Amino acid sequence: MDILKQIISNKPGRIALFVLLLLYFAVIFAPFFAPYPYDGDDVMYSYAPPTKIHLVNLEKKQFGPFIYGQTYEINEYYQRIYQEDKTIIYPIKVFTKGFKYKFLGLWETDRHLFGVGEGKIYLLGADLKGRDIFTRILYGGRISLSIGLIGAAISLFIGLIVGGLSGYFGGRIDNFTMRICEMIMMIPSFYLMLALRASFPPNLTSTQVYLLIIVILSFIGWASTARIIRGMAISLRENEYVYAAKAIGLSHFKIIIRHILPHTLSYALVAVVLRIPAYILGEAGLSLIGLGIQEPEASWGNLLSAAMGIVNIRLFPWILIPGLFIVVTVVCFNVLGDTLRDILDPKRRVL
Amino acid sequence: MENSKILTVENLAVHFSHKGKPTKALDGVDIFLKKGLVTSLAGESGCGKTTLAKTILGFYKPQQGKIYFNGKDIILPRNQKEARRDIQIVFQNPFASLDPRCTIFYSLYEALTVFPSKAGANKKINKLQGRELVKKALAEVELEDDVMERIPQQLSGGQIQRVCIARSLINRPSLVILDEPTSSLDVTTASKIMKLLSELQKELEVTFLFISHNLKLLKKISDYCFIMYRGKIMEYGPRDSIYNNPLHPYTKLLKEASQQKLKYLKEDVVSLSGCPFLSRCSFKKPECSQESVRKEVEPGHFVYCHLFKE
Repeated sequence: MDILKQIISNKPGRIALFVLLLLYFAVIFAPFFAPYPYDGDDVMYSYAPPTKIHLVNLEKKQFGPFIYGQTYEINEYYQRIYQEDKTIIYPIKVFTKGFKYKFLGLWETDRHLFGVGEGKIYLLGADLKGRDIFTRILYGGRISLSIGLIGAAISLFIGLIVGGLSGYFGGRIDNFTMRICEMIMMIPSFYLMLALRASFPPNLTSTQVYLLIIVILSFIGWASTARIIRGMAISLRENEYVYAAKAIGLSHFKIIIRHILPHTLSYALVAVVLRIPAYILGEAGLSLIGLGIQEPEASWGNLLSAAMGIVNIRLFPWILIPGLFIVVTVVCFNVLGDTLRDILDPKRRVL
Repeated sequence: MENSKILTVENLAVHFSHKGKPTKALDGVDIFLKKGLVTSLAGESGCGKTTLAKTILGFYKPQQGKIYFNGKDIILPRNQKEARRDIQIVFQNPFASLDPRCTIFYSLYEALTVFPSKAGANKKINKLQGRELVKKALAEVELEDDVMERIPQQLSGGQIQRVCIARSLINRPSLVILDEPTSSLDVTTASKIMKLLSELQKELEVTFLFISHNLKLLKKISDYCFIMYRGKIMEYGPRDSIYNNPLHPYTKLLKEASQQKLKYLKEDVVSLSGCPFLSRCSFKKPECSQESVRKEVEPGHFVYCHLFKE
């Protein structure tokens, strides 16, 4: 609680925390905020641009937010040019009915934050199959944001155990584990990620791929955490309270758990928050080149894969928006990590 | 009445090597502790006192020698665990010897959970039982109950040292090693702690191994003295004969130091053979370059020096 107060008293930290909480809140309640299901395609609206929201139409006496219906015509390059059909008005309704979903997996409901009834609203445009990018960003965030947290937590766990054991016992165990860590850290991480992904069968279900990516990311990530923890454990084990704990007959395991690892936690926390972006980017990278989360499942990485061609980016720039979410998330985690480090470990600020 | 020996250390050697350069921290040490008495170990910094303590506790593996505790060789891992509950230690720096994250209650309670049977509880100990026992242990060292919920940073050095003493005694060990327990405390606190220690020692009939560099302190508390220099025992005997009649030049130097009479110190050079004190000794003789054998000068008063004859 004390840490939280200090984060809030720091302006960049406060903003970063707020943005991250907002993002996580939005993706947890994704079906509620999203007007359409993540795989709800509509070929009539392929690459539809972000829908304009209007407030006033004097002719039809329509006030309050509404959108017009959309039609398109095909130009000489066989491209669709979307136009507003001003004769049709769809008012934007709040807490309206839409597709059915299970609220937090508990009970079924069909209420959504907003909707336009018969029309189609694309806040951030549509992709090739006419799916709402806003919806897909929310659903994709569930994967991208959770992979970061879970991956970081798992690698922190492995790092604490391995680093603690290795630093506490030293000698051969230390030598052995540190050489393994170095081997993992030696290989460029993206390359290692590709190699690991390639060693598994390509046709996995999306849940399997999700778990596999977490495993791969934490396999790559634990080494650097373990090295940090090991260094701290080496200096901590020479403390007299560790000798005292040995003297009263505590087992090595209990000494590591109770008297060594808790002292490394504040630094480990900082290291983990600063590493979460790497996991998010790792997932995005894998999904971007088609080795991660597969369509129709959404993740920020595979949403971006639609933007791989220069033609697509020039004609439909809104398909780059998922990248913006990645950037914002990564920046926020970095700012939050820096703030945490300043709070927990003021000595390191200069580094 | 002759007290039986509770701990015997025979020809113990512990060498550390740093970048291939070995340091002989202990070089053939023989000591013994008599049951129910306070034996002290004196010597300057770096002479191996703490190493000896830590080796007895099993933190270092000796290169040679034997440590017998109640007749069992406790260097062997299978005997070591048993000895753990009977040998405890109080460290020099009180601020470092309690985990700064744990409350005083937890630090003491933790000691109880390891060997609950000794503290008077049945197999498992719960927090409520523990609380009573911790309260009792704190009362023994004249501390109030309200320190229990505090963390070490909120206590003074003297209070923490009392907590450490309480922790070392909570499992009722038969031997407690006190590694300079007062050297980081101020004079008045130190004298209070010394008084407390000698009272507790008599009350609980534990054996103390008291480690210090200050002969004056040793005179107050100990029954038997060992003087150590460079990993070797120089002289040992009953307290009075060591303090009133120091034989070895090094013991004399220590005594002068404790009386603030020290004037001039010769440079310390490591001698490869013979008496380790050779380079600083003002009474050296040609035969001092050879190892000296043990000589009994008075009954029970032994010295390793060529200057004296049996």
